[in-house]
Amino acid sequence: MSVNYAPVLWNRQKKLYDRIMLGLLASYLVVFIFFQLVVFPEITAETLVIRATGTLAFLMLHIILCIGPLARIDKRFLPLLYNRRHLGVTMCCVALVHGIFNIIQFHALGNVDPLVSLFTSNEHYAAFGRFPFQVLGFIALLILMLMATTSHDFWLKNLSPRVWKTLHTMVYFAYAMLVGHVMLGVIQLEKSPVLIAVAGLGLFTVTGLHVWSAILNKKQTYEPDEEDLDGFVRVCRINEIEENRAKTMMIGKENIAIFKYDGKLSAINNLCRHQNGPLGEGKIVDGCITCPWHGYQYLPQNGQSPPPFTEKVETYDVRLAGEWVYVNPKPYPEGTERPPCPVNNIVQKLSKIALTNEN
Amino acid sequence: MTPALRKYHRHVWFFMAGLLPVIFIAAITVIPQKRPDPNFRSHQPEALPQVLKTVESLNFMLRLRASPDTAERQLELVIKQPLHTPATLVYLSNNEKAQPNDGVFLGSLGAKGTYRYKIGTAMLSQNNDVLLFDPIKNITIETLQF
Repeated sequence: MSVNYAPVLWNRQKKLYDRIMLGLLASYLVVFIFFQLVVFPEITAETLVIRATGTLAFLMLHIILCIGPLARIDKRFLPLLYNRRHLGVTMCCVALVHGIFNIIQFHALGNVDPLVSLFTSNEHYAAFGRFPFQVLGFIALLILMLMATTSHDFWLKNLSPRVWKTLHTMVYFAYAMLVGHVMLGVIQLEKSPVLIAVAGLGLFTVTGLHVWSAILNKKQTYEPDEEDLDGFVRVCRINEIEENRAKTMMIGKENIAIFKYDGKLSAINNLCRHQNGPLGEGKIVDGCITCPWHGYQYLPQNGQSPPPFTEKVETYDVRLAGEWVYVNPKPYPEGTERPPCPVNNIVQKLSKIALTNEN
Repeated sequence: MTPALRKYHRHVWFFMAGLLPVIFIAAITVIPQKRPDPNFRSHQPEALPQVLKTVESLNFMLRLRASPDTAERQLELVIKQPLHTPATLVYLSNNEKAQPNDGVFLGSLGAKGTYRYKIGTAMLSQNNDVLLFDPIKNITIETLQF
């Protein structure tokens, strides 16, 4: 978050993230190239670059796609989510090297334009087994490049978070294209059971994690159907909310996160103003609710980013009756100060006992 | 993430979880069982028994072969290292500093291995050059003198 423009808002975490990422990428390339030179001593430099960058980009895409569901399933993975944008842009650069070398190696030496050759050198578009797999990779690369070039807050602000996020969900389409690219390309040519097993494992991991997190998320979505007096709705016991964390819920169309901190409860809208990140999956750091995606911060009592920042979210009234937490789903305008609801220690202990007995 | 977007993600991944394994399995079923032999070359004549001359470079070995019963000659070219050029043409020339256009086209080279070209004795002189030419980049890759 920033009040002044800066191309990249570097901080210690981002630098550390990028150093670790680049270190791991370099290690992968060294190990892969060494392995290839041992197994295929006659391999040419061009083929080595194509193989190294192709496998690396595909591996990185798998990791990128796994980070989201992993962070939703287990909060310990949230630090990986923080700078995923840099990981995505780096992956696109690696994929671009793969694409360029492929086009030079296989399409640039003839008397036909390389891009024309890419689409016309294999015209078995109607045959599944002999389908021109390079075209699939090219389309996926175009999508990844579109995403990488718009991976900046300039585009986020100008396109709006909703449009931007929808645009970036095209990565799933790109992933499907790349699965086809690999399965109809290298798998058909090499026929290696190891390659098939690795590709299958990657596919199973990515789809399995996404389906698992989607099912978990649907179970966790709280949609109370009873409305108590004064418009307040009973949502949970006080001990169901961890200290400095939140419980999230959908009440009607309101996406609410109730945070417990310093013996108090406050409720704000669950959507970060940056990229609609899930504020309720973040935690309170230095007295501020911190978005798990990119670290945008809000004060729990008024939903405002601390000065000089200007982002604001809606706030809600919270009540505590015995051990039960109630929230009024009628939102106050963005940044409206609402007094936090105090939490009595005795109530917390009673709630804990009640929960234990129920379990 | 907005509930609508979350729901969209859920639908997309349920769809992908059904579609991608189908593509995966279908692609495995169409893997060709027979692989083309990279060393296969059609119309490769048998080697003539006598070796008259041998010339060797880093990447190639050239033998001039002959038959004791006939005037037939044969050029045998062995590719020792895989070629770096997608297309390589072979020309025989008798002129010093010859260009491909000056010579006789013998054939083209592909994968690593042995290639034989039938030639007549009339095509040979005291000094002969075999030119290996890249027609795409329009450059002579190597000249073997024998």
